[in-house]
Amino acid sequence: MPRIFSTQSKKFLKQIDKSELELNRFLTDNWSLLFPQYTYISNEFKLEGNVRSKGSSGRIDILAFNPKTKRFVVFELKKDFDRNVNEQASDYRDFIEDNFAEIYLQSAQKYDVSLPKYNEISKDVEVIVLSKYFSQTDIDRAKKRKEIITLIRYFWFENELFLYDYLNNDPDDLIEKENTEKIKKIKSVIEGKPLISETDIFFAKKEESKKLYNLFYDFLASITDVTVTVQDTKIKLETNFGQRFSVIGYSGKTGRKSYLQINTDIDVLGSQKLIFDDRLRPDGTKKGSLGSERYEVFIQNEDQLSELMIFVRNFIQNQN
Amino acid sequence: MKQINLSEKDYKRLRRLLRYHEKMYGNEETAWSFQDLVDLQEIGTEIAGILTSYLKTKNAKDLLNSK
Repeated sequence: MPRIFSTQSKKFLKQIDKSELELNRFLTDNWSLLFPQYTYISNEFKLEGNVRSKGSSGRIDILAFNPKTKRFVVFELKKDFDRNVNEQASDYRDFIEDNFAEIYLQSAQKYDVSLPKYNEISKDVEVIVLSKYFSQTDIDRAKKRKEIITLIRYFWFENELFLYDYLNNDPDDLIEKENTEKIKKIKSVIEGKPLISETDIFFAKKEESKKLYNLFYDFLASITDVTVTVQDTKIKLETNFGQRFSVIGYSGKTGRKSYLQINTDIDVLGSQKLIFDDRLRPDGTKKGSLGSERYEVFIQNEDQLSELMIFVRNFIQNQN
Repeated sequence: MKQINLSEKDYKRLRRLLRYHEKMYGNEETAWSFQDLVDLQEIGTEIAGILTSYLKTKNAKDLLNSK
């Protein structure tokens, strides 16, 4: 439990209890100071009209937009303790996905927020939970999920003092990490060492996988902005046309003799050339996979990769 | 006893609605506005709507009629 000692009045400052509504107003009034990285849309955001889908009642405490990741950001405010933050993130993701068009329209028209084009926005959602306490399990899980859930602990003290602490995804840490990466690269250039990227490390000695991955990445980068996130088990490629790909490297010695597995939600069912697995079971659940997307496409050669690129290109054309 | 399995989607919808209901409902100190009441009513209606679709199936009707 944090304590604040005032050296001026020689006493510990008392903690103050304020309602969720007061917290909401405080954040809204001081938005540009507290969360300059996000575009504020509305507090108490509620879907309006008769076009809503089932289960869309309720309000979002604060809805914002992250211009960097092109994702909507849901702020969930809790007066005291919060539980099951991971479940909430998953529910909000579904909520945004189910009502995406309405949320986009309402944000742009009713709240006059300048957003990127409809098809450039990711349907993933970032959830930021503000609460006085979190369980250690929730903190650990949120850390594993990287930027999707951010936990912020806060306290009110007398003298109008507001203390808040990022338990993960602290924006200051991210800046520091970026700077460290830059310094590392500059150092390598000075010392004449070849630059080793995270992608190089991910594929290690799987040269064929790396070659195919680079072809796929160059293809995507030629048609859209691509955000690359290298994780322990996969590389995530996020695009501006609302699709995400999860890429995994193989040595060509697995049952399918593939060098690359690319998970995608783009429908590849009509392909004769591609080797793929549709993860969707008849009951609507998905089979397990390293990536969350529906189809696992197994790439053995450049020919198959070109076929997948055709599907991606067709998908974009159909969107327009 | 016959068990009803909700679809994953409906389960998550209910979970979200119930969580939101709990949040709005608050505790004995919570003061509601008229808008809060309207929202609580709306949530109740949506919950009923989700559950009703399961009660309309033939199995559910047979089961209920057999009592």
